[in-house]
Amino acid sequence: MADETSAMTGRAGSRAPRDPARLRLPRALREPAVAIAYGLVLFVVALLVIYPTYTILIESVRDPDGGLTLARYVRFFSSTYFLHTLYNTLLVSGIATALSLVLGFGFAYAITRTDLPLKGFFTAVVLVPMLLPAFLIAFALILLLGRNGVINRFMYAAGEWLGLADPSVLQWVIFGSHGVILAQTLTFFPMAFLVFSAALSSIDPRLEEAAEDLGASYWYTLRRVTLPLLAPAAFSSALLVFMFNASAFGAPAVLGGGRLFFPQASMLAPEAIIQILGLYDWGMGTTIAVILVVPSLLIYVLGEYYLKKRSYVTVSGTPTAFRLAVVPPAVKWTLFALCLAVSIFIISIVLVVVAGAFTRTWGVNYDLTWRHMATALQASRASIINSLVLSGGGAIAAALFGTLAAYLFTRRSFRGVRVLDFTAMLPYALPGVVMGLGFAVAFGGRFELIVLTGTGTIIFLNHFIRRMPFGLRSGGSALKQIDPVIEEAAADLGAKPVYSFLRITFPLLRATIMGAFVFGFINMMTDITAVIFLVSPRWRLLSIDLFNAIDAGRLGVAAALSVIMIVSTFVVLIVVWRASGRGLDFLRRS
Amino acid sequence: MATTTLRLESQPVRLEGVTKLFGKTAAVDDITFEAEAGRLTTLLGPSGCGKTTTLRMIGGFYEPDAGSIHIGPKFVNTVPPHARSTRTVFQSYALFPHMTVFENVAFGLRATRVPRGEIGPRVDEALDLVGLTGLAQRSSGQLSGGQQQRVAFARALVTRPEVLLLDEPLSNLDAKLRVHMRGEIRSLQQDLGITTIYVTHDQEEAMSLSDHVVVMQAGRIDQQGPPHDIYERPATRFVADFIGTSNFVDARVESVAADVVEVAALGSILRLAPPVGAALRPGESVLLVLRPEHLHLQDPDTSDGVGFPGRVASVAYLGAVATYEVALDGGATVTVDNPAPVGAALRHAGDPVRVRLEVDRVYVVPRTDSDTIRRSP
Ligand SMILES: Nc1ncnc2c1ncn2[C@@H]1O[C@H](COP(=O)(O)OP(=O)(O)O)[C@@H](O)[C@H]1O
Ligand SMILES: [Mg+2]
Repeated sequence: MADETSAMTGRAGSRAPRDPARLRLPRALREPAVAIAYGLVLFVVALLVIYPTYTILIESVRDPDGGLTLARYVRFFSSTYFLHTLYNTLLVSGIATALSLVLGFGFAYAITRTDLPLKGFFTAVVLVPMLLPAFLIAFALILLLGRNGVINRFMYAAGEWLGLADPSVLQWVIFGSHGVILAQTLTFFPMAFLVFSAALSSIDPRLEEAAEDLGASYWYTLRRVTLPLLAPAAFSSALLVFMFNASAFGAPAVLGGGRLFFPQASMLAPEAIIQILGLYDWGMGTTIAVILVVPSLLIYVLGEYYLKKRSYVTVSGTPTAFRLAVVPPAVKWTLFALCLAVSIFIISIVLVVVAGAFTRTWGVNYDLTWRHMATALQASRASIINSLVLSGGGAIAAALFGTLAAYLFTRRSFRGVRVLDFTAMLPYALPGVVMGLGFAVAFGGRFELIVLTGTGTIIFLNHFIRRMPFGLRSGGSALKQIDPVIEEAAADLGAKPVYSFLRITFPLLRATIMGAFVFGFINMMTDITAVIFLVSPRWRLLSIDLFNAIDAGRLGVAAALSVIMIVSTFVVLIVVWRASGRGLDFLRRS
Repeated sequence: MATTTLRLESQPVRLEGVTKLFGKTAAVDDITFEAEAGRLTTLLGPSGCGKTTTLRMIGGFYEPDAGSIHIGPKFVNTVPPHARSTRTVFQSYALFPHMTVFENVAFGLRATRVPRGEIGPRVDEALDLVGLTGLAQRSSGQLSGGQQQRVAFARALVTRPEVLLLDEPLSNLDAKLRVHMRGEIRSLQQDLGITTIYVTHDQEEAMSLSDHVVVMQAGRIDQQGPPHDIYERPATRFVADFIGTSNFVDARVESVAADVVEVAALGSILRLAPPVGAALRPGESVLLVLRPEHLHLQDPDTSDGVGFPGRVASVAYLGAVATYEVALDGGATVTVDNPAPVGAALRHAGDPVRVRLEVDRVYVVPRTDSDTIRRSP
């Protein structure tokens, strides 16, 4: 009765043999274009990340007569001087990290949880320090609170007016541990702010409401619900901020000299630079760099791969709209006072630098002058152009390459890609001193494989590889927001991988790429810790000229160079912002 | 959608023993079927049964772990999507958000380097075909759900594919539009004569659209055939249950002959057509499948045909039909759909009745669901 057209149950005939190709190569790599792109990424990572890290390690254990030795590590850990360097670093970083967390949380809580006036203003101001190099903040502190700083001059005058025996007792001079801590806190608290405000706005408000509903008071809810929920975010931003603090160079170099907790010693990053550039002791310099690498790496791995999984709140999650909790007025106005004070301080930092640039002699003669600006423009003309070209080119390369790598790792991944991703992210975790020194060792003729000393190329490559992780990370998270089916549709319609990448993925990532460019550009313009090892008389940079001017006490010229740096980054920012108009529109629509 | 002169070189699609593993679990497990050239084949099954996975293997987005896929004469297991002659209309449409309607439809032509001069006319023709004339310059974000779907169709068809793959194309539309688009898709498919594989979990959609239905469950195929065969002669309990409504009544096989089985059920011996695809052994427990509309309520003393006495347990009056739950004296409770009689003739709960069967529309399925079928030779 079962006629031919009627139902037949599915039953395999002979199975086709397994395709042998799949045993050899991951499917993603069978596309030639994808395989080539992976080859490029592998080459870049091997040459610019693995090789310099490797050479720095080798250099630190290399004996002058060819053998291997741990003598330098023994020397480091048995010398009071070096140990004091380490203690200084830990103390200053620890305190600055704690303060950054408090400030960052205060700002984040005020902005996300209260209806304070001036919230928009605070949000904008808190991000300003991210645009400024750390040593510029330190420099501004000198203009405010140095011996000839406006505030200390005023206090001295006040002391005289009061008829004090020593009018200088009213002064609070910024040099010393407290200055370094203040400068670093100001530099790094925005990072904590960003983490906290993302975490706070993605906590489900119903949890806090439920606590209140169950009869918990404001403080009880804060203590038992809100803060515990934030703990993972707090911990990860603490690690991050500590890592940046511990490897900072600018503020200790400008404000620290001989006045830290252990006054005989400096801090790790400046010490590495002194060893190399002052004493030409490559072995000891690289040893200190390696000592700096170990905790940074541990912290990075911990934060990146362990904490993220434990987090209760998804930091990248979409902010939930909710009714603002009822914050007691005392808390609210305390927060307001804090935010206002910090904001005014940040603004005065910028203002004082601008004022310094057009003032004859800071602290002595406040006549208006163009002299510093003229000197700066004339003496540093080549540096300014170098900086703009290398940072512009480096930022474009970093944003594009990072995005390409992000695309490969998320959309064309295969087993083992995580290792490549981790390695490509390392330049983000490795301190600037390490990356700079690594390049100086790897490409500086001490290993004779590739010699690039004194070229623009070495600076460009260093800029590029250090900021490439921005593109990689932001590209990766943007790609997670784009439904892969869009790209599948392109392939389905006959688009080959390269065509699909250029026509679909790339345009959709436009705004993200612009963001990575801007962030990279600012960081390249303001970097000193890495490039200090790479500049040469033929290839000078604006940031290094600025640092040297501060170091030499030429405050007027330094201020003029600072203004040039701030203005040029700002101009680039605006131009890119305008150019990305369509990209931003698209983001808003989807 | 208007008719067109555009004719396509359709190709059949053949899957043999295809398996796809995610980790250790098989999302698609050893399936074999053919989608004939120029016809519409539906993959039907509940959510999670592996329909999308199957379609994605045909489109080239997944590679089978075992088995072979042929499009026409060509073995395509390892051919990447961009090199296949299949075009997919995705469930979410997947329009390119940064492009206009025109650019979306032209994409496949540009990507495959169709001469510039041909692109404009072909895009216009495709837009006419799906009834979107004049919307070419709209941005894809400004379209309604129905319009987006039409763009997705135009974008797939403009490249003259050999096979069209549709993954639940109607699931994002509201109920009214769904029925309308169903008709349009069917007539477009028939006008173009394009081999189409259509994925849905909606049995009504599958029944109304298809030339051939493949019913899947848990990564396997339970039954395939033309819609009416699937409905009229379900091969497994699952198919009987999933497609339409069925009553299941316990029965035991008494004897098996070439074209008839005798089963004992409800205290009688019934002579029935043997089930599809399964061999029965005398003594085996089986299930009878009784469709509610193939059962008829009669006064208790009637005696035509085969019937069983019982009592009405409940009545639901639905207008065109009345649905009765009847407790049979033999123990089972069955659902009966009968045309609603005029006014007073409606039966009431507690009324004694006789339920008559249409014996040629009673089917036997194995008791232990599909496994029995698969293991049988
Ligand atoms: N990419 C994937 N990774 C792991 N499991 C998957 C993936 N895609 C589908 N599955 C699993 O395979 C099974 C079949 O999925 P799918 O083909 O999407 O079903 P359907 O389309 O019939 O609803 C489901 O159990 C699903 O969870
Ligand atoms: Mg599906």
